[in-house]
Amino acid sequence: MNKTLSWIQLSFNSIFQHRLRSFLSMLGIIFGVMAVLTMISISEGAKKELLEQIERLGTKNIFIKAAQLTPSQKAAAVEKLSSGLTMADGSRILAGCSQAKLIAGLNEISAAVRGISGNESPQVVAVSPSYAGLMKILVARGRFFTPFDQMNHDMVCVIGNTLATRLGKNGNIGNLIRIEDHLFKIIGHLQEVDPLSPGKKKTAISVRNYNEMLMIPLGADGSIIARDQETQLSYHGGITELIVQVQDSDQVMAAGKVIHRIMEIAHNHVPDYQIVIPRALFIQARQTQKLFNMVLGAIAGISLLVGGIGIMNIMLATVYERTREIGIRRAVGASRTDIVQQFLIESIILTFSGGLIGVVLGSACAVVVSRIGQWQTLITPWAVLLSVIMAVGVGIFFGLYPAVRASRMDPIIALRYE
Amino acid sequence: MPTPLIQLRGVCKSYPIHDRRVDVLTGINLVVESGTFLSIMGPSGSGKSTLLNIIGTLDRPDSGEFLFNGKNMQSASDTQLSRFRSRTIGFVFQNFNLIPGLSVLNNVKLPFLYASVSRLSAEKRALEAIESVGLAHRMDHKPSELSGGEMQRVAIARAIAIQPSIILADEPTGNLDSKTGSEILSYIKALHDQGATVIIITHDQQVADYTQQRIHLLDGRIAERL
Repeated sequence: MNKTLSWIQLSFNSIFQHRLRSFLSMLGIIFGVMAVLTMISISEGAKKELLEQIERLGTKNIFIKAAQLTPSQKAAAVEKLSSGLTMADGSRILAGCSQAKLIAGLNEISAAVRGISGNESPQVVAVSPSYAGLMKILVARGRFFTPFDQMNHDMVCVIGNTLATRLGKNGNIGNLIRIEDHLFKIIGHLQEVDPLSPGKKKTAISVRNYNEMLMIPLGADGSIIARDQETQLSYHGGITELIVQVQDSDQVMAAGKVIHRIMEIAHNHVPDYQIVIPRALFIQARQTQKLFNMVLGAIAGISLLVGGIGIMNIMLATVYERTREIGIRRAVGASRTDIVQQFLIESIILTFSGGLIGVVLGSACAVVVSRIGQWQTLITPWAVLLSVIMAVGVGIFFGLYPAVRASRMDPIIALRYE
Repeated sequence: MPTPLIQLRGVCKSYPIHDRRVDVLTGINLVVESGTFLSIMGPSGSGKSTLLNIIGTLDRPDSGEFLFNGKNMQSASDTQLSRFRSRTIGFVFQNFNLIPGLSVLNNVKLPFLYASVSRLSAEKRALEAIESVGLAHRMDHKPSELSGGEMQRVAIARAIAIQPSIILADEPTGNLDSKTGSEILSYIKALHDQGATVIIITHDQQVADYTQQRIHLLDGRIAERL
């Protein structure tokens, strides 16, 4: 212990004696560690963002979205008797797919909500009563829809937290709100959810911001949509999104295949829907991640190799320069092991310090990237630890040869060295 | 009869120079009793330094035996020999051999690093040694700030700080003017007077005259014993 402490002190002395040289030789390690940490934090940030989204969408959920058809496709759809996505598809899936446990429908409606300050109209959606449970939406005040609301086509609505604030008194429960020409009674306020940072990378399905939303029971939307004759004809209880929840998240992939088959048959091979499985997106993302990690690993490896060669170079120079000192130490009682340890400690201190500086710079870099690039970055403790351990590892690996070389010197020749 | 401190029996040593082996020592027999002041003389290349290095365990004989306190050093490992050096041998070199980056104090403390002596007692003994060579006021100076004589005094302090059984001096006055040389010599004599075993390589007949035991090396053999 005594010895090790003295050596650490001696190494610091020697490093500080050659400040510039030590710093320059550290640069490789500094940049290597910095690059590694920055990239890991970007990759971790992306992973976290995706995980949050998928978590929000639910790992047990399968989304079936209505797809827009071109006019010619539309004509073909009519011929093939496919009427787009409806709740009937949901019933078929519940009947045909044993893993499917719950379904919920959602219909996006473009309708203006009256009496709201500001020019942004909230998004109006009609949803099944089960939607809240499937999407883990919580009600802050009042209640969510019941199957009765849906059955009776009740003119009621539930509003998001921000929207309620914007409405002020008018947004209180029990008040009426006008959507197009109809009045809806507010029966509940949703609990505020953390709006996910709008990532630049769009996944196949984006997370809705419930805070700004107005929900009405599915069925009640018919009255809004069918306000003019023309659309009334085409209104047939269509929905824009169907959500199927399976018993267990492990079954989601298998259920996805069954649902695919059911839909194919029900829609007679008309591609007027799209099946999205958040878990599949996650698996796909993990594949991408793997590739990214490999590239990252290669870059890290190369930069640390280059850094390590720099360290080895400087350590060889140091050993050469201090030949006489090695001879003196051997004469006063240093064993070969002592000499190896001394120089190894010096190279480890070099790379360790370089690693620490690299961690600081890398963290700063990650912050800058997230500020400028609008990317979420995440600096995890293991990434920091890994970077420092790698730096120390480089110190040991590339410091060993110079250290062993120092210890193998003949003390008599070393003592005469000028 | 007590075991002599050092016994050399038929010690031979040769070095490869280019593709030839050059015999440096050819059958040295030598006994040094504890407390002796021995001088080694001889022309350059006669093997004086090699002999001293073998006694100092920096080198090993090719053949023959080297016994220290009756113990054969031939089979000792590098670590054992290093340990042995750190506790029993104090070297004084012609070119001082101080570490330039370290202060006087740290140079003198250097052997303690390898002798497993506690920090406190190392500090104390190093200070005492520096005081005994009259350099207490130079404690924190770097070797480059010292004169030749002072550097050699630091080297002596380093050699005696560990209280070695034997002091090996390889032409300690060779790089000094005669005045400082005799000053250094007086320190070494004082050490002997205090009971230390001293082996000194010298060209100076006056130094040799002072010592109790003298050997003269010629072509790797002891040509003359006095």
